[in-house]
Amino acid sequence: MSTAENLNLSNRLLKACGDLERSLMTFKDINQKAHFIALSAAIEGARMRSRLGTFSIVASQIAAQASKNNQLSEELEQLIARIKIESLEAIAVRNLELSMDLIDKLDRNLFERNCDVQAWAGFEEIKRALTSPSEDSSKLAGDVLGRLTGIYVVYSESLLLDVSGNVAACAAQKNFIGMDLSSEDWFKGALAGQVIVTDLHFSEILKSRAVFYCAPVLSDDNNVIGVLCNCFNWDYAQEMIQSGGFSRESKAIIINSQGTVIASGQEHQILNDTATWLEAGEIAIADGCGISNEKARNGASLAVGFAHTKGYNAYKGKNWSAIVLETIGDIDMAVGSKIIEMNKKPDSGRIKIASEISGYKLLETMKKIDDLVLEINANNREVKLLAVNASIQAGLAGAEGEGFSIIANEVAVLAKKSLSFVEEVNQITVQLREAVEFSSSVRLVDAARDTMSKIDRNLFERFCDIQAWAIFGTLVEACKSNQAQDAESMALLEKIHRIYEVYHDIYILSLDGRVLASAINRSVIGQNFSSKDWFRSAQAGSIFVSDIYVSETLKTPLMTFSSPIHDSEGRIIGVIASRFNCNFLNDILRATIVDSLSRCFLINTSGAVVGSAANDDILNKQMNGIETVKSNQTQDSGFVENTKIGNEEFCLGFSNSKGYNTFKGQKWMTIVERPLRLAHMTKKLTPAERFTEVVLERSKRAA
Amino acid sequence: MRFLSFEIQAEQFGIQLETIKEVIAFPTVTPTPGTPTYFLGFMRLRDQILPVIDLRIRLGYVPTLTHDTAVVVCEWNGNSVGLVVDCIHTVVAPDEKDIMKTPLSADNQGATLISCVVRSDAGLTLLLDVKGVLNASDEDLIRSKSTLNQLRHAG
Repeated sequence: MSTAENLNLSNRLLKACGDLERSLMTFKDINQKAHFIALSAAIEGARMRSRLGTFSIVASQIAAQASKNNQLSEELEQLIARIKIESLEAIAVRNLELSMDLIDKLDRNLFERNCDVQAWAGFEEIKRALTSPSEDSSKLAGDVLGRLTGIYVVYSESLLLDVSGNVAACAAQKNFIGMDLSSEDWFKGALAGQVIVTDLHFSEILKSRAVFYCAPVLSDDNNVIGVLCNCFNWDYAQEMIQSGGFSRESKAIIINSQGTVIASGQEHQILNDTATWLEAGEIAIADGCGISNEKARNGASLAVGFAHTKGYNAYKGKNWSAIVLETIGDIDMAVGSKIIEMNKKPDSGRIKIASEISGYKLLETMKKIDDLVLEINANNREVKLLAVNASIQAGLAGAEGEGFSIIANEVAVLAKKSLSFVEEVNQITVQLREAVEFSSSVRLVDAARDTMSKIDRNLFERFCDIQAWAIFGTLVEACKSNQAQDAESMALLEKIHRIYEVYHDIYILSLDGRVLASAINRSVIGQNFSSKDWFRSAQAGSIFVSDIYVSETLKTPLMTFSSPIHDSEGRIIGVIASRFNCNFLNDILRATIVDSLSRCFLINTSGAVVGSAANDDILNKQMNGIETVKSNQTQDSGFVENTKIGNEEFCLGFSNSKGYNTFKGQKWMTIVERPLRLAHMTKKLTPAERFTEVVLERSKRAA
Repeated sequence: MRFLSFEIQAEQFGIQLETIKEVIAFPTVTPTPGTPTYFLGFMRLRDQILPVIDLRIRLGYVPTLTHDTAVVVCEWNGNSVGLVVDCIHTVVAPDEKDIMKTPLSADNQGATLISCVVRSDAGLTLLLDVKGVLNASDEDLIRSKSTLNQLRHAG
């Protein structure tokens, strides 16, 4: 979604509000004049000696109309004020969704980093560098760490420390070896047996910004023999801010538990600026999530969305928050700061409420404006006839009625002006309605794009995992010896399975296809999988990523990743394969932020649904709508106005997979569909139908 | 002479001001069964109850209901009656020279309906004779006792 289009959204809504306000000024002018005319009419009426009664009646009728119009214009004013507030909310809610997505992406990434360090601490080479320290063992450990950091791409360094805090091996900068880091807090924490994740800080060691993930390295009898510290390259967190769908007027930041900015599009803010001056910032720090309309430090008006971390799986988060601030145009915010906190509701409720709060409220208020305008219109009709009546009376009075005649004409003129006011307002509400529908479509595309991005990032991690595990010394040895049910291998696979949580099972296989060891399911040991494509691909030396399929025995959707296992000379001696539990992808789809009637799907290259909030859809559901989407392949992501799926009409947001880092993606796509009937919340009546409605309404009231 | 101009189906008509009491928007009408189609029923106007006649049907046009549909309240023979028209314009005071007698002969039915014709830039406006619009049988209808009884019950 281009930034130009994002800009249009806020501008459109706010421009429409401004136009409404200006129109209302005209109407108030008209009403004021009407009051004067009513006065004049009363005066003229009093001056008539003959026909006094009839003139007075007409004069008082003019006055009554004028005050009715006044009342209506006051009501209109209130409605317009509400539209302003609701427009601001609508803009802010989009930012809320973007901030929720940003913090979720970060949480998921940090979960993976949290797993990695615990897994790597189990490598034989790592342990050996600590139990039998020597130049060789240090070099071997360093090589392993180097390969691992190379596979995962996102680490700038990895350090192995002994119990005294001295660097025994490292992945990149060899001159770190021997450095004494015993005073570091993270070292002390990990030495005591805990997994430590530091806050973002400027590392004096690395001379750059980093987050350190530290895990204790345990001996075979579970004693702490050292500490492994992975240094996460914060550029990859910064990159999340750049790749989000933020408009030109929006800024996204991440703040830590103290409110200090730790990630931002503006370099100079990082670790220098705070967000505590923002009400949104304070609430976010206190575990809040919601929207606010407030003033920036330079006085500009802001629409803000903010979300506190929720962690992911076993990773509990560092109490960080994401905030998205959007500078909005010329709008008088005498309304003050408006905070809506959505923390109190359960997760899915929180997300759905966020979507419904905006667009639909606006549409309801607009319907009220429509009704009011109809009333004004009907009133107009009365005023016109009043003018004629005044003329009639004036005509019957002959020469005496001259003054009244003039008044009658003025009333007629006012009625005409009222009419053009009504036409103006109708046009503006049409624009408003379009803006609201447009904002809904923008959010559909946001949802599709963000969901695809999270899925790609997840698959990247799985892609790295299988390559990383293929270099575990324990597993290489097991393949070499061709021994089934090797206790060490099984223990290792179990440990990895437990740490990463998202796999159904992990196997190592011999070169001829027999399963040598598994993490969970013992019964597959000895089975031969040499005919499977994932085995043959790895056997031939390529990393394999399967499509999603539903396991018959388990009834869950799965994906298989496989990699060759090499010996130290580079010969292929076995295969490692992981079964990724795709329910974790479905979780992402379930959490996609849309309204309660919309749904998100993951589609593979054949057009089959391979991911969905409802398990039954998988490989069952037909997405006929994708024909429309396939022809839109020129764009990365976009919106399809109107397409038929089955019997119902939908609008769709879609996004094509772009892969992530070294993972090129499966050429899948996400589709978010919303039933079209949501877009037409107010029944569109023809002018004749609306007229009849009002007449009936009024006669009911009069009766 | 002054008259109120109005239109029915884009044809311009008028009624002399002396006959007119006022104009109102199209109201809620209580229908009366057993009456001709152009007789719509009775309506309440402040403290009065008046019969309402659809002038469009009476003159042979197809009636419509729009934003502009209105009722001209006329006085005839001491009774008030409301005439439904498509759109009310304004009070006109034409020059003597623009007023012409109807060209129709006296035995033509149209002669009783139209009192005169007024010429203007917009074309010809036919001025209606209210008495001619309502013929004798309508008079009985309006005055009949049974109708009055129904009136009392409706009121």
